Amino acid sequence: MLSKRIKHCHTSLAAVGMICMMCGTTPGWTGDPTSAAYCQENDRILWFITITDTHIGARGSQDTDNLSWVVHEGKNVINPSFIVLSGDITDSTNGNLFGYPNGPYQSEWDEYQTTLDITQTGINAGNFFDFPGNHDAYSDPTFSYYLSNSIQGQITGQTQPSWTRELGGSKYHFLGTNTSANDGSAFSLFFPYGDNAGLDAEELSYIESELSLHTDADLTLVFGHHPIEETDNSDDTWLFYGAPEFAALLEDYGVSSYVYGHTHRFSEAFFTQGVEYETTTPYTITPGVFYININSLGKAEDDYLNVTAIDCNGISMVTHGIDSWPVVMITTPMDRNLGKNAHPLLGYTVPNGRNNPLRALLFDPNVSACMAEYRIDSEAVWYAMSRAETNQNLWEAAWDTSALNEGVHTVEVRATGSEGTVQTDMISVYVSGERKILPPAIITYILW
Amino acid sequence: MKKIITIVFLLIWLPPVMCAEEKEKVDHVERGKAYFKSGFYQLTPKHRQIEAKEQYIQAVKELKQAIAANPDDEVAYRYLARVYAVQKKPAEAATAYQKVIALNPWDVDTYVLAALALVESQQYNRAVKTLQAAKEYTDDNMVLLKIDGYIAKIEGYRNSKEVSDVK
Repeated sequence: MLSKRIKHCHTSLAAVGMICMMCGTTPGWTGDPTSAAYCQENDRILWFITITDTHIGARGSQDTDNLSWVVHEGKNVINPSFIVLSGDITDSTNGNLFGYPNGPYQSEWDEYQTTLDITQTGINAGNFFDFPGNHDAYSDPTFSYYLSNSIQGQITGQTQPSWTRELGGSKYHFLGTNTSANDGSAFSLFFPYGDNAGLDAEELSYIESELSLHTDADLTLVFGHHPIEETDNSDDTWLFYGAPEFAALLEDYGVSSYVYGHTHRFSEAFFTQGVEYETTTPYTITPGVFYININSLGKAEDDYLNVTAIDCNGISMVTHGIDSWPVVMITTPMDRNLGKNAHPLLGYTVPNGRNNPLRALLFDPNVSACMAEYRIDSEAVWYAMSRAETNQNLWEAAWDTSALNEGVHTVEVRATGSEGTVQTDMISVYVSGERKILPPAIITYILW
Repeated sequence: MKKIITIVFLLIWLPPVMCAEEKEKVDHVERGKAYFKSGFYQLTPKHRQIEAKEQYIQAVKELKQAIAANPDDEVAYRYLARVYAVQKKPAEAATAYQKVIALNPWDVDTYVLAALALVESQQYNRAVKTLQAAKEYTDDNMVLLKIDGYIAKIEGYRNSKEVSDVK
């Protein structure tokens, strides 16, 4: 099922000449998570939104208010390629006093569909990928409510959506996994709370078949509801079965990231190893995957709107609350500390030169009235960026690194929104090579 | 001789009859479950509510027959409670859940389901007592904390709404 593919990555830098990167695949990989390239081209960018744990039906109105914002204003302003909803679509409580899931409730799914407002928002199975979480699985062994009422379930008849995007000759594969229990257990107060989460043989087989179907993808990103392995919180559940096999697939197919919800917390990490439940047998993923936990849109206070961009095969992310503009995210160069310091998926450094591309996406209801600037290493001076002609949300600059020493530096972009609100994004990069600017004494000698 | 013949006759005749009766008991439960599942998992998600309601009515009939034949049938009471809850008959659901508890007092989760149904039918005192009773059947601290939390929510709700138990 595995095939070798040689990918040729090419970047060009005006100051120090052309740099040509040959990215060889690791034997067994199909997608190449290390294929990020430092490109001058500004038209190889796509972005999307990930949300999770909407818990439609929970007590109060945050569930529907927040989801409504995402699919109306959020979608209109950010204009994502698609939206992912990674589980716990409904609450299965119907707002009962205890918050005790005793559903499923058709009324919650009706409310979900009403909130999506598909005739106004344009939400459809080609741009909205929802899959079940444990709250959608309680007391529903065949996921009948999910299959009859969700955007994906109604069209595909399945619980694990798979889709692609193509851009500028590159192909990206995305896969949602159903990590929820398949036994239809009711919720319980006792661990594991009726949530016998995991991936069974059939689900793993489908995941593998989809991964192998898209062996020509440049990048593969996977979504699920549960963490892959145990957390340090006793309220959490995770993949009790199928985790080592799942990890093997993530490794074998060169998956770049696993994004999940369930815990109602936010974290960015890099997953390289885990321990199988009960057997405690360790397993690894090499080189590892970005391991991003997004907070609950329906119940949390912040960190529940994730915007991810792919720019020349480099991945960037920002995660924060809703109803707050502008949203800004540096897409090039790629952050070397996403998930962990000096993560191994970044295959390039920023060369020491005068014309390094710096790009950032900026989203605002009135983006033409916005401004973007950047600075290096938190210095006092900010440098203006200009809006790309072909993409109203893209701001760019030519970054001169020739005066920087070799080593780690920070790049910060400050976006001023149309109403004066300021938002920033900061990344770390490694600038390589010696300083190219001659000291004054040498210049004087040459002139003389 | 007559006694021997009678005994032999009973040994031959009784088992099939008993089996048939047992089968009938099981059939009522299974039929009740099937009606419920048809209405709940096949019809309701497809917005065929009128047909689903008919299924629930049939489910109740079957389950009641099962209970009439065997008043200690926990499964029948459990499904009956479920059907009543779906039919939005919380008082009847609470009664059925409490039968389950009586038959299986160690099922702590059913106390919570019963309490929810009691709250929905405005029987707050009984809901609190039901939850307090549940605490006798577990020593899991996390569960005990959650139950205490539920009790506090009932008290808070009752006080904030200034509602009282139905008479």
